Amino acid sequence: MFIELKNAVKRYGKGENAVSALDNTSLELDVGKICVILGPSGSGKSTLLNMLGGLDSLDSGELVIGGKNLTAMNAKQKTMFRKEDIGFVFQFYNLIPDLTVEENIEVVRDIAEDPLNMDEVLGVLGLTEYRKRFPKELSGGQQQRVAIARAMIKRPKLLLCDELTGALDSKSARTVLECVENMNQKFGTTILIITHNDVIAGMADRIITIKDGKIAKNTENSAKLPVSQLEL
Amino acid sequence: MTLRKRYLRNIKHNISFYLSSLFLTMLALLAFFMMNIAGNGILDFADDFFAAHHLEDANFKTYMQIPQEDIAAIEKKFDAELNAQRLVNLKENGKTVRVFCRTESVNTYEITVGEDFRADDEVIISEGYADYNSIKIGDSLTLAGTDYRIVGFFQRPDYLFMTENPGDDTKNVETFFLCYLTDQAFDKLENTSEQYYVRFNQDNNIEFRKYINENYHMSSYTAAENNSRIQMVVKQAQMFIIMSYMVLVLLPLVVVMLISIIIGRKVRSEQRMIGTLSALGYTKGKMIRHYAGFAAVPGILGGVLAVIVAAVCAQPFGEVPLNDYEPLRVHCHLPALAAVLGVIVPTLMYMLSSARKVRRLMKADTVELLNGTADSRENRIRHILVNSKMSFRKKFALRSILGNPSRTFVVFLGIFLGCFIMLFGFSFFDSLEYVGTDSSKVIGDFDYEYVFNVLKTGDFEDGEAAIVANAETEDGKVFQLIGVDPANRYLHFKDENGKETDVSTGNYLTSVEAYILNIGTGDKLKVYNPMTMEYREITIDGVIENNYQKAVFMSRAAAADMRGLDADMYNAVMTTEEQDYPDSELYTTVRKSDTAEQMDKLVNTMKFLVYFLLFVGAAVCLISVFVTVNTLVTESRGNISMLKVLGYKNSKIDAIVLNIHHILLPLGILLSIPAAYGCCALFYRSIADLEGALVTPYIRPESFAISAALTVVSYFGSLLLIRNKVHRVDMVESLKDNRE
Repeated sequence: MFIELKNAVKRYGKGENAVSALDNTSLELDVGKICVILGPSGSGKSTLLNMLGGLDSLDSGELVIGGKNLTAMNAKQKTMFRKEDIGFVFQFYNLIPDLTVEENIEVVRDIAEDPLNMDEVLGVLGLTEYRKRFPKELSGGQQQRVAIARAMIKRPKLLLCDELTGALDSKSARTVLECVENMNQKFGTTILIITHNDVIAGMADRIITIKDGKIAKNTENSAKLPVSQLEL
Repeated sequence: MTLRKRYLRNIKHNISFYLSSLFLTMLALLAFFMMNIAGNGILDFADDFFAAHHLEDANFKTYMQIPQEDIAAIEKKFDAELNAQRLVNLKENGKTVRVFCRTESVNTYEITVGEDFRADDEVIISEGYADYNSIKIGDSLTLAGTDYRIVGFFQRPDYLFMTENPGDDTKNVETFFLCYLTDQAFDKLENTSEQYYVRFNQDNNIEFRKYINENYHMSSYTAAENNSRIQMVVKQAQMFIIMSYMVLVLLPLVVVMLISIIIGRKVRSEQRMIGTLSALGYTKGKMIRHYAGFAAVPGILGGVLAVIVAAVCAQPFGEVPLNDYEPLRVHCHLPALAAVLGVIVPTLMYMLSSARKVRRLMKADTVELLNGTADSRENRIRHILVNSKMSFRKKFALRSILGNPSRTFVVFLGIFLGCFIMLFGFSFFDSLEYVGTDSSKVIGDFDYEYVFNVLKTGDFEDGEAAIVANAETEDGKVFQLIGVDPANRYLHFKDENGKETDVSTGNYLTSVEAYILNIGTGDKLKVYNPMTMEYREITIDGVIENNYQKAVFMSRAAAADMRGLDADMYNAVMTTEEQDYPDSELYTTVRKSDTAEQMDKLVNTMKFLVYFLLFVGAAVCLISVFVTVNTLVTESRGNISMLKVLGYKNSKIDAIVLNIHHILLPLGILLSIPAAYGCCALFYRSIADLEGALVTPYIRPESFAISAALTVVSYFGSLLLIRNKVHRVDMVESLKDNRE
């Protein structure tokens, strides 16, 4: 298994105000698969993503990704883990406004050990003509593709996407999802997408539904569809 | 309004900014108060003391003694107060004591410690000397072989700045003091002379001088406004007051820039809330007042705290610059006007600066404010280096510097001002120390100059004879007329271009006097004899490089002719060996080494000021950089957390976020050098007339090194303090903010 999460517990707050974001949650995911995690606001989706990305720590339980035990890692080791193994794509892109498209991607390429070719990545994501533009000069969809390019350039083993189409129109959303699909197919990257949008679940190998910090449903998607056929 | 509740919460949230602004405001105000208290305290004291002890309008000496009965007649004739005072200079154990008899009504003394003398074996001495040398009441003093008992210490109005010779630059309480004896005891002393003090009730001093000269032959005349022993007190006090108002406006300028940036950015970051309040019906005026309130906090708090500190510490504050004088009983208090201005001026400056920012933003459409798109002008500077192969880190730094000019300016200002203040402090003292070296080069190769109060004739073989006489310009500015032999072996004059000149061919003005009188080669100068008030008009044939003597040099024959003397007469000699002339013959003695010693002494007694300026400079640099970079970090939380998410180590994030202003460090330090030189030159030029010298700005290499090193330490120290804030940025919290 590429991802093994066992009996994960994460609580925020203290005493009566304590809230269980993850409540004895367990999941497994094979390498190279696309997994979509669905759930309402406050269900624990983002907490799960933060744990998988090494951004936050579990109160109890065990998390192993690609053979690396995250629960035993200190802050420095987690930084190295994020640098080497994880790619992130967020709903609001989180690009650095004072850097051009190319330079934003360069930020990750600069610390990657075996980065992809910049021109190739820009080409794959259809960003070549925008390479000298600043984020503010791009549409939301284009910005999200830059965020994907930034994640992709370092060849991450796991790509974590948090509501990556949440701020986009359907046309832009499709383009962005095609980029993610393309990445999975071309580089065999394991992809985990958190979303409110049930339709996106159509492109997944596995669909997990979270409710109140617990896995409510965990199913194989036997009817997996290419993004082009999703009714976004 | 309920919105006011935000003030306290906001202060708690931005405590480092408010504390820094508060501290800077207090620092600026305390510097203002200190100088204001001192200046006003000294002026008030001097006014009262001068009035109470009937300060002279002028003093003079004559070749013929004025009989007592003539004095009364002269007083009546000119409606003036004229007093004679007997005096003698005695050398006792390497010290010079100027012994006086009492005057009747002019320049009377005040007993400050102990009591007045009554018996012939009792004396009183000047307090500054007694303090410096730990002399106590009851100690004995030997004068001309007779022992006296010291019964009191005193001060007199024409010796508050205690110098042995009228032209000395620094006080001397180490080897020179004043003493009073009874008339009977004084009668036993030999070689005594007489000096006269006059107070005019009418504007008739010229007629008075002419009358005295015609009847008693004046040998010297010094008006109170040309007497540095009197003027130093008044002019320095006035200078303190002027400087205090300059400080009041200049130092808070840094804080104004900081406030302007912080409030400006705060307002911009709150534009959605402003839009909402605007939509709810809040008026522009209310909003402007609300945000101006944030800016007023450091102004009011800093002002009030500084007023409290200054009011409590007024006495020690005011006494700091009294070092130059006799131990003056100055009653120091914070003037009400200064206290009010101290609170109002910075507060008003901060509020106006923030109101200007808010007003500009409020010009935007409410919808734009609600969307958070107001004041989001496209920044063209961002496009620089788009096609460059430079690393993204360097591009990021350059765009950040150029794209945020006000922020960059404050960091630069902090570095520049910090280093400037330190260098200025050093330049002030280094230049004074350099006077000793520099003056000995330009004044001449002699070691001693003796000026007599009698005229001599014939040859002088142990050195060079000269005529040294006081002269006045048309508007009463005093300078020296110096007549020397063209073959004088000690003087090698060079003009402004470094070319050798010959005094036998004309009249040469020293560069300091040319600066004070604002005249140069080819100009005419009316040279007045202060005793007769007759004048001759001379043409200036050149300006010689000499910043330490207010003088016109000419041939001895020409000087003799101007003063109506025979060609072989002289009243001064220059020598390389010390001569033994009786004190009664000497008007003044100048040892060339005195200048350097005086300057060293002055610098050593005021060294604490350098340390104070080093502290202020370092604080200004540290606080300015800290507050600005702190804002940068707050604004860059999103970028910082994203870099963390992407796997950047803390050290690399520091390099990207914190180090962007490094380029400003050498720039600020380098530019502070000419600024410090310039201000030092301006300062010394402004007091050239008072000091009688145009001090050349000079900064020692060690001073450069210390100032630069302290600036660098302050700069990196502030970054070190902020580093923890960068490291504390929480990835999850920042991402959550972005999601929201």
